[in-house]
Formats: sequence, C-alpha cells, structure tokens
Amino acid sequence: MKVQVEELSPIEKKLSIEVDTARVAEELTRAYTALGRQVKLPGFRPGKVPRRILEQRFREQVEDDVIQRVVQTSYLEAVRAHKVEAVSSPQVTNSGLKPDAPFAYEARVEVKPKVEAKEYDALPLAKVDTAVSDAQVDEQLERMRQSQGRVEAVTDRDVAAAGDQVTIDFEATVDGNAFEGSKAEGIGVQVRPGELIQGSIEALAGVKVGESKDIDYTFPADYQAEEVRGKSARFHITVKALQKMVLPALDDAFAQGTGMAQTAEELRTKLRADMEKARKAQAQQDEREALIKVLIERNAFEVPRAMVERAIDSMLDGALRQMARQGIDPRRLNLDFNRLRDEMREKAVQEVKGTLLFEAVAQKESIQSTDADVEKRIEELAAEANQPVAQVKKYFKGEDERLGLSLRLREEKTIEFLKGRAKYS
Amino acid sequence: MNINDVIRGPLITEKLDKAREKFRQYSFIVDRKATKHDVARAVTALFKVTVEGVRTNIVRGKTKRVGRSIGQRPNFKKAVVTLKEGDKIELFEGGAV
Repeated sequence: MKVQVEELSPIEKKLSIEVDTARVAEELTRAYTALGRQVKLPGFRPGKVPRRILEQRFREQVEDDVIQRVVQTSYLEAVRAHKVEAVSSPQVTNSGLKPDAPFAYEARVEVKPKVEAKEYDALPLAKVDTAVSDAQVDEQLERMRQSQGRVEAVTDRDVAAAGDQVTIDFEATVDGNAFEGSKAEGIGVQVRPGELIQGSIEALAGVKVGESKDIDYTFPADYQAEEVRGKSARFHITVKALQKMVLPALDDAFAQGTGMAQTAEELRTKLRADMEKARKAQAQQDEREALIKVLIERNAFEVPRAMVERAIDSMLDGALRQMARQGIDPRRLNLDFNRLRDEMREKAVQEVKGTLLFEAVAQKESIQSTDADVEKRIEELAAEANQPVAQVKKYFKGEDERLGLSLRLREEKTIEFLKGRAKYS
Repeated sequence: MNINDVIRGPLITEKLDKAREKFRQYSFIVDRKATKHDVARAVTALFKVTVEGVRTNIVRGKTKRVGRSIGQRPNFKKAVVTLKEGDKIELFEGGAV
C-alpha cells in the first residue's frame, strides 16, 4: 500500500492511496466465493457456480462492494500510519477497479488543525465579583416568602391601601361611548404602581369599600383591542372588597416549610452558600468565555466544519436533554432544527476554537491531569450527586468517559493557569 | 423447418458448462420435431458460427409428486452443438437467462 498525504489547507488533507494488486485480487476472490455460496442459478448447485459466470453477471455489484471494503480498511490503516487526525468522514473519489492492477483512490478529509498558542501571557480579564451581599440574600428570602403568601380578607379597615388586592366593578368609556370589554364585575386588581391593563391600579389607595373613583387611562399604542389603541378612556371603578396578601413570617417554621433548613438562621446561611456557588459557577463560565474570546483574537485559525457541526450536535443534545428533564417534550415544540443550528453555529465555532486553544496551551506548558486528579474529581462528583463513590467510579470506568473527564480536568487546570497569568482590570 | 422455430433456448448446467469449456459444445433446448440438420442450420444462422457436429437426445421429464398427486414434467429435445475451434457464443458466458 502506497500513501501520499497532501495538505490542502490547515484543516484539510488529501490522501492518495494505492492498494496493491495482490490485495485487491484477494478481496475479489473472497467476495466472489462469498457470493457464489449465496447465489442460486438454474443448472448449478449452490456454491458451484463458476467464477467466470459470476463475474459476467455480478461484476458491478461485487466491485462496488470490494471498493468499499478496500477503501474502508486501507483508509483506516493510512490514517493510523500517517497520524492524520481526521475529524470528518472522508470524501472518496476513485477511478474504478481494474483486475490485475493496483487500485488507486483519493480521500479528502478534514483534520484537526495544528494550533500553536501564542501570546497567552497577561491576558486582559475583567475581575468578576462573586460576593453575595446581605441585601441579595434578603431579596431571595423575600421572593420565597412571596411565593408562599396567602390571600386573606381585610377585616380591620375598609379603606384600600397600597399592597392590597381589591375586588372591583368597573365601567369604562372612550369619548363617552362604551366599547367591547368596557364593563366588568368582580375583577381582582392590585393596588400598586403599574399598568391598569395588567391589573395594577395605584390610584385605588384610599378608596373606601362601596365607594367609586374615576380614573383616566390611555391605552398603549400596541394594545390588543384595535378599537381603543392609543385612546384615552375614563374608568369608573367601584371598590367591592379588600383582600391582603399575608406573607409567612421569616421564622423556623418557614425554614422547615422550605425543606432546606431547620432554623431561619440556617436557611439564611444555606441560601447564601447556594447563591455564592451559583455566582461562582457563572463567573467561571464567564471567565472561560472571556478567555476564549481574547485567545481567539490573538490566535487566528480556521476550524473544520465537521468539528463545528459536532459541537452543535452536542449543544443541541444538551439542550434537548435539559428540556426532557424539565418535562418538556421537544417534539411537541415544533422546533426548526435547521434554524436552531444556524443560531448555535457562532457559539459552536467559538467553543471548538476555545477547546483547541486550551489544548495547545496545555501542550506547550505541559499541563496534565493526573490519575489522582481524576480520582479526586470522581469523589467530588459523587458527593455532589449524593451517590456512592463506587457507583460514580463505575460510570467512569469506560475508556471514553474517563478520557473525557481527564480532558475536562486538564482544561480546567489550563484555565487556572491562564487566569494566574492574566492581567485583571 | 423455419430456423426461427428450432431453438427454444440455451441449456446451461454444471456439466454442460464444463463441456463447453473443454470441447466447445453448446447445448440448446430445441423443438421436438427439429432434426440435427435443422439445429446446425439454425445455430449457424443465428450466432454466425461454424458448426462441426450436432448430437441430440430426448430428455425424459421427471415424475414429480406433490402429496397424493403425481405429475410428469414435459419431455424435451436437447441438442449439443460442437463448434469449430475458436468460435463461441456470447450468450452462454453469463449462465442461464
């Protein structure tokens, strides 16, 4: 077998491969013998059909098969022997098979580009503040209380106040005329700042139950009812009843109700820890992306399409799985996958370039992830997922899984390395 | 006999395939009433070859039974035609049609 590797571009190579006569002949013999055993021709016992007759009748079919087989095996051999890092399946062109002659073909394949990382010292990076302030924790707690609030009737007063939920009847007119939906009874609205059409009427504060108030309101220009778009209406509103949102007190009982902690204090610390973790994770991702961006700016290179497509595949896959976890059936969303892919393409290109660049840096700085690192991470993952270490270990026993984890760890280390050398602004 | 009515079709079997390779003998199923001369004329005209000899025989149809019913396959006349050295009939190269 003779192989010639030609570099068409940094991301594409052409392999010219010539397979020896003997090997072709051998494959042909094998194919014809196999075919002879299956084929049934009148006048011949199975397996006894002379090759001459088989050749006459099945030549094209057999030769196609043989070409495919020979190409497949010899291509793989060539790729392995010449260390071509193929990332796509090859485009093969051949000029047909001739008996008693070597079989030659050409295969064009996309390869992983050789990336040399330059200027990765002192990368400008924005400092990200991951601290969580008390105010933010309070806000989160407040949101939790809101979600647990109950609506109760107001009994101690009969004047609407800010924050109340009020049941009203209303009658509206535009230029003195009624319009569709201009009249309703028993509608619940909030006394708080906001748009009237969304059920927020601040001006009701101070109105007594049973009394009325007139409010002027101009409908927005993009309101759904065409009739009143952009017009000014007068609402005659009568307050019927008052209710109030009662929020649970921030005490130990509330903390237990959330299922996160036993005491209010513990809830607060837990919440803070969770928020800090989320912030840190987000910051890490942001920093990674920022690093990739600068690195790409400083090291321009092309990426093969196959790698980008594969990255898109895995991104799509992740997104779909995420949906499945949330109980959404992606098939029912009627997604336009081609459009989605196009939208993801830019991100995917960046992702692929980033991975390659980090790899290049790691290579140059001989950053590696050791077995010990992998073991440690497995234990961490187990602790995080609340699963026995043995089970997680079992999952990572597979060659691919372990390699994937090891590569991820190396990338993380590389990022740490780059961050250590980065210039924060 | 009209030469277009003589030959019914080629006859190809393992045995006859060997005979063809070794002795240039090509076999046909021919009409029951065709004579050796008819066959020789027909083969010469249809395949543009020179015939050296013709041998014929009647092949008796096999008795076949399917369950209780017994049947008889039809008899046919077989003609083995020997060609002049160097002549050949392409039709036979790819086996029975």
